[in-house]
Amino acid sequence: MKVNLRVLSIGVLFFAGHTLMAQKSKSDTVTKTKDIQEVVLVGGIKLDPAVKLGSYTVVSKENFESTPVASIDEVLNGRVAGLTFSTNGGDPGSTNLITIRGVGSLIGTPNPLYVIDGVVVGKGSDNSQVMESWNPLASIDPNSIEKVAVLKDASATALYGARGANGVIVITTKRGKYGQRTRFNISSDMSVQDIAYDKQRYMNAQEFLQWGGQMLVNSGAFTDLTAATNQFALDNNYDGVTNENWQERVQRSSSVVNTYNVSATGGGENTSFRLGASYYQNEPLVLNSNFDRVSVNAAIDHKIEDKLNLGFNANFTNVERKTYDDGGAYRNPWLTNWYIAPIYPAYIDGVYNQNNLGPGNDFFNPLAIQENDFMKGSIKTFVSSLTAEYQPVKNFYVNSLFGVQYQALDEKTYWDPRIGDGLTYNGYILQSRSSAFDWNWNNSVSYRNIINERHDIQAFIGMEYQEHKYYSLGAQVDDLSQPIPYISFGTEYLQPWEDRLKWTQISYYSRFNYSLDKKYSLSAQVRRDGNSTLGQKKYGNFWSVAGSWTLSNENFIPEFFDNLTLRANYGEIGNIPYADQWYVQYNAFPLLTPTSLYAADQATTIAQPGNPDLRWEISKQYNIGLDFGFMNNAVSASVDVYQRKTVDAIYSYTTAPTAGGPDSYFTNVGDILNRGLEATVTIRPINGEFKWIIDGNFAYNKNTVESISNPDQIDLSGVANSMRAIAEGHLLGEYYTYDWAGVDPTTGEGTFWTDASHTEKTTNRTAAERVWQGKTPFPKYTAGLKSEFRYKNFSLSAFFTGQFEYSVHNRWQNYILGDGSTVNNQIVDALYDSWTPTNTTASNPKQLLNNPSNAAGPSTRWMRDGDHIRLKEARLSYSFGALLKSAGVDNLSVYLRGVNLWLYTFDENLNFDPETNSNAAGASWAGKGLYDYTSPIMRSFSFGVSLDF
Amino acid sequence: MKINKFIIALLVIFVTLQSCREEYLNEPTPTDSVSPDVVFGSKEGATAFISGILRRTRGQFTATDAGNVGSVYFARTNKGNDVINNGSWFSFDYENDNREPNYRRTVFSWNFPYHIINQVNAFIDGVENSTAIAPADKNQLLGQAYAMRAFFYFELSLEFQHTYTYDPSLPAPPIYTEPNELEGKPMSTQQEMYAFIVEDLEQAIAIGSTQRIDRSYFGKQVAHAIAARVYQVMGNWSKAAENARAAYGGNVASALSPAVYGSGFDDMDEGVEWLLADPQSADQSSYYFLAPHGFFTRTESAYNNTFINRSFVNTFTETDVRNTFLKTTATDYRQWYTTKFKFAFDADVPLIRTAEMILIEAEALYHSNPAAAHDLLYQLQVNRDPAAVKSTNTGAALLEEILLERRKELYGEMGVEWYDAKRLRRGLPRDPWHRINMANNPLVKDDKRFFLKVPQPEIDANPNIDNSVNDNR
Repeated sequence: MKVNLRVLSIGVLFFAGHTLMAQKSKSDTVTKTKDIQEVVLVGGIKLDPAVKLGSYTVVSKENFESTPVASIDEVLNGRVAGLTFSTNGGDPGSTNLITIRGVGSLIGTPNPLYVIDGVVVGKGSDNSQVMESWNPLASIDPNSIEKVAVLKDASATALYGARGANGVIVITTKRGKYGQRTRFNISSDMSVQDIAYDKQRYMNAQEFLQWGGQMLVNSGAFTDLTAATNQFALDNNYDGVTNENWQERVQRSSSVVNTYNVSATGGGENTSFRLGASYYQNEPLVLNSNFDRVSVNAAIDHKIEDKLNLGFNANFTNVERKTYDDGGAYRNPWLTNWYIAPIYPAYIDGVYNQNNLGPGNDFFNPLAIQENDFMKGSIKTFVSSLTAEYQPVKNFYVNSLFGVQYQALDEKTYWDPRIGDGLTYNGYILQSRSSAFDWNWNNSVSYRNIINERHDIQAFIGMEYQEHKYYSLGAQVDDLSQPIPYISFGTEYLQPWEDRLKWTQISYYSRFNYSLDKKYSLSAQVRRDGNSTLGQKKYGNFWSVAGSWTLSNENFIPEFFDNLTLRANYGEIGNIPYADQWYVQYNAFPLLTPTSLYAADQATTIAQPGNPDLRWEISKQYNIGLDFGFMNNAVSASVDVYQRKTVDAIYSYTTAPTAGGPDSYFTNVGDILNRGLEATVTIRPINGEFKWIIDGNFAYNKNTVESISNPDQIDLSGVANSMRAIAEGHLLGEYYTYDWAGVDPTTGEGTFWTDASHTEKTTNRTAAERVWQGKTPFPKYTAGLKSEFRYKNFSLSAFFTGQFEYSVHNRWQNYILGDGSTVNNQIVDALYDSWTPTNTTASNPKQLLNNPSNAAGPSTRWMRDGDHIRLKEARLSYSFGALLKSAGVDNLSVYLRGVNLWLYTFDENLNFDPETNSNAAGASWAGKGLYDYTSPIMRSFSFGVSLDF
Repeated sequence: MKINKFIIALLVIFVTLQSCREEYLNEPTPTDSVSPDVVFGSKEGATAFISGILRRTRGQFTATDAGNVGSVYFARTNKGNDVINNGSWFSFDYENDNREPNYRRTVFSWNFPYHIINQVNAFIDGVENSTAIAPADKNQLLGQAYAMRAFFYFELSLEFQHTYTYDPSLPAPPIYTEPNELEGKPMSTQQEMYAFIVEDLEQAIAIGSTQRIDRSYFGKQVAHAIAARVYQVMGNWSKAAENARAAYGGNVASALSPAVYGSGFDDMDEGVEWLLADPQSADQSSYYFLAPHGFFTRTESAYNNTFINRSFVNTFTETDVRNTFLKTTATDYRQWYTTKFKFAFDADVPLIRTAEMILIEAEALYHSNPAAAHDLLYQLQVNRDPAAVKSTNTGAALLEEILLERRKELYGEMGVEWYDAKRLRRGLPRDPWHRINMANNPLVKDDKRFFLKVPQPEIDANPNIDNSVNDNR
């Protein structure tokens, strides 16, 4: 075996499959496609593409295999109509924000629910205590995935009911096959990465000094720019020679990702298996950060006389991650360019420069911090399920599934006593151990029969119980006796913590499907969910109905159509938007905290009043769809229109101070409306030896807050420097800020329109009125387009994604271009595009040292169109196919792949990646489109190899 | 039969899950907190809740000048003529320029009492509905709660409207009798507010007990003392006298401990004078939020920014134990300071003292029996200054003498100058040598600056109060 091959495997299997298919008849092709499209849900219930009732999209395994990205959710970006993806941080393992058909809740994560082999694993929200964030999905080995189904409407998600209202992502892992000789696969991928898009150019030393000189001239203190620049250099203690690029100092020269996979699949008459292992090693750009993941997984199936089928799945991963504070943290290595000016050197006489770093920066040498302090986590995850299907009598089935997920996190922060924050505390260590344990048990009884070859009847009844627990224990010390990162070296003990949290859910569900002649299909579901986090009314009843008419099976429809199906469904589904965030499980409970003393007496006070009326948020959804294909499926397409209305949306409601309790409660306050359209199309213009396949998807979504119980209330997003708000009658998260009116060409001052009428200007930003901008950080239109050419054993594909009609802004705008309000390094616009008496048409106001103007504060000056087109992936592959058969090799394939190769932006002033979010808002919508110097999205080039034998 | 075994096993599973379902959903409860059932399950649990509320009354609510009951009182102290602020904390109160809807004083003076009131309401609700606490214990607990609630509503009424006698039909802050209301209530009227306060106090007196853990708990004697203040403001002099007397015990000599002057007013257990206090200890302190001590002192390191007006110093005789004034090296408004309050993290803060009660009784008697009032006043005067000579004042001059005695006795504590000017509907002019003498805009009779506007956050969040509440306010 040639084990030492580096990387790769993707699409090879898929490619080979397609080649095979091409040689077979049309019906075989259809069968094959069906296999891919068929998704098994809970209790043996299948989504059958032949009688498609709901709206869902299946993404197949070749998209996940050997991907350079750390978590599987990122792969879905652009591949599913109606799904928008953006990341809260590009550091591998950071959480992401995914919406399917818009945002349905005012609080909590808008992410869909993830289900892996029947195990309800949550919504990809944060489990970490110390690290900026931890995305549980980064624990899943993408190479073990067979397919991912994205369920979008009520008829599809109703089976998952509660927690499924934002959509459900059903992940099926690979399994063995009965009666197949054992096959092995070895694959490897090596990627080199750098920053995908960053047009912010910071000033170098000479520019920085000149900017300072210009400020002194602008203030009238100097008339000669050279003299002013010299004075500024002197005032800032410039050594006359340094020109430091601090960002490069805290980075590696390049980032490298390696993936190695090995698997074996096979099976006998009654037993089949798959065993797999993989190693994923990511060295990100930031110095000393890393992400290593080891995974092993196994799937075993066993059957007894076709009456009893047993299955077992196990996935274990260990991630060793070294990360850092990003986002708003002062020690964020991605902010280095801003907070230390290029006129200060990293080293003086071979040792760290600690005392000449600019005002307020003493001992905060970013290089010293990156090299000596650390933040790391070790995350062990076990996801496993046991399934059984038993057929006691003909047509009756009993299904049972028991799933567990256990994730243990061991995290540590260390601040060296000699530098930065550590100096203040004489060293600091924070150590946390936490674990999340989830299990669910699902049992159902079903009747499935086809009568007279015409009536396909399926009826299910079942129940599911889920339990979710979180445990966290933490200790912290400072004043270290020696600079060694172990708790035992602390001489002062700070407040430790211990938390134990738990919530549970019980569901009863039923489903009835009927299909006549595969022409007319009907489905109805009723379920009852109870959730422990709610108030007195813990249970809710939910339902959905769906129907479809396969016109292509009617005689009056011309043969021209391979498929023509009309679908419609309606459903009402419950949702608990906060359920996937820890520490908010007990909102419904009144609590008193016995944590203080009064003199020597125990003292207790109200911690929270509790809201016993807290009840289910309900998502009322309809979907109408049309699937069609013609010319031997040279063209096949789907169009869906939907409405998703959330009623009784749960929100953190600001209470009147006179009510005397905490500032806000979770309560059911409003209605949110999502409306949209989705279209997907596959075209095969050329389908001979040379093939051309085009896959496209397009989506439109409009997301409005229809009502809030206090209609006058306008809630600005609580994230600092955000400009978005929630208010009745406006788009969800609509920009609501001051209207920038440009720079006054005569005075050089920034001006603002006093109100929406744009008749009067003021130089005092806060004296103006905020104006609704009609834009949100969520794209109104999204699109994906993949074009693939195949010729013999070659394949070449390009995949583009686009997002349109949305706005983004930089949370640090007034710092990186602060008009002189702080003397930190600036982007070059501060020098080249700011007002001077000779440059009166500049975009930015006159720069003044310690500028008292508030013109740099949040306003439309900083809003940018996020609209963009991205070359998400391009790939060239070659498969040797049967050429090496004689050597015992079933297949060998090699590929080259690029990810995020190119980005076109429509706003020429957009200088940061429009797909990044802030991590400051937790998992909620408020982080969306708010650029926050979290780790950037990466561009990567890969080479890979896959060998089957 | 294999098949039957499986069926039986599955049936067992279904039945088991089915029968446990309610229990499963109700089981998850927080582990790091206690539920109300536990708190109100015993007298001790309920008492711990009272202790928790008291701890809040002396805490760090918002900022150095907006932290606790002491901050409310010291802001009032700064508004008058007898003390002079030298800038820094409380300077906006000193300038009488701190009443706009978004100002910290306005927001704090509104939010803080309501925060405490909500806790007290939760306490009352819990104790009343408790089946585990004995009726006698319930009375003792509820007596304290009613007195606390009355105390904080009374402070609210003083801060957010003209005095009661100006016009009882004017709007007063909302009244909440239930805890944890989701929706804000509308403004009440002064009439409703005072009726509610009086009802709470009469109930506290009817069921309360004078037995208490220490002098920070609202025992029956405190209820009497609060009632004396309330009736004093309402001008109900017979009730004021009756309650004041009940509060100090009726015997002047045994209700006073002149020796405590000079030891720093920092220990509630020293002497017999303190009726109600906010106690501190080194590890449970409001630290530098501790008014008035942290602001008057010049000998310990704190804010040290408040001086005494020389005209006020001149009203004290040399032999008066209350003459604790010392000179600085300055010759301007910073010439005098007081050593009445000694700052330390464990300095207790006086909220109500017996001397105030004696003087309330004297003022009340003045309206019915001026001679008795004069006798009572002299008893206090001679206690403070053994060389005191009984004055010959009668009529209005006697009332002025009582009011001056109140200032001399209570300055720095409950904002006596402002309190008296407000309730008696007088102006509060300043001497010209003040840092800011307000010569052009002195506080006049019924000046709006004697109360605050309604905070904007309340207007924004409360559907029952809109911006018009501040029209002409």
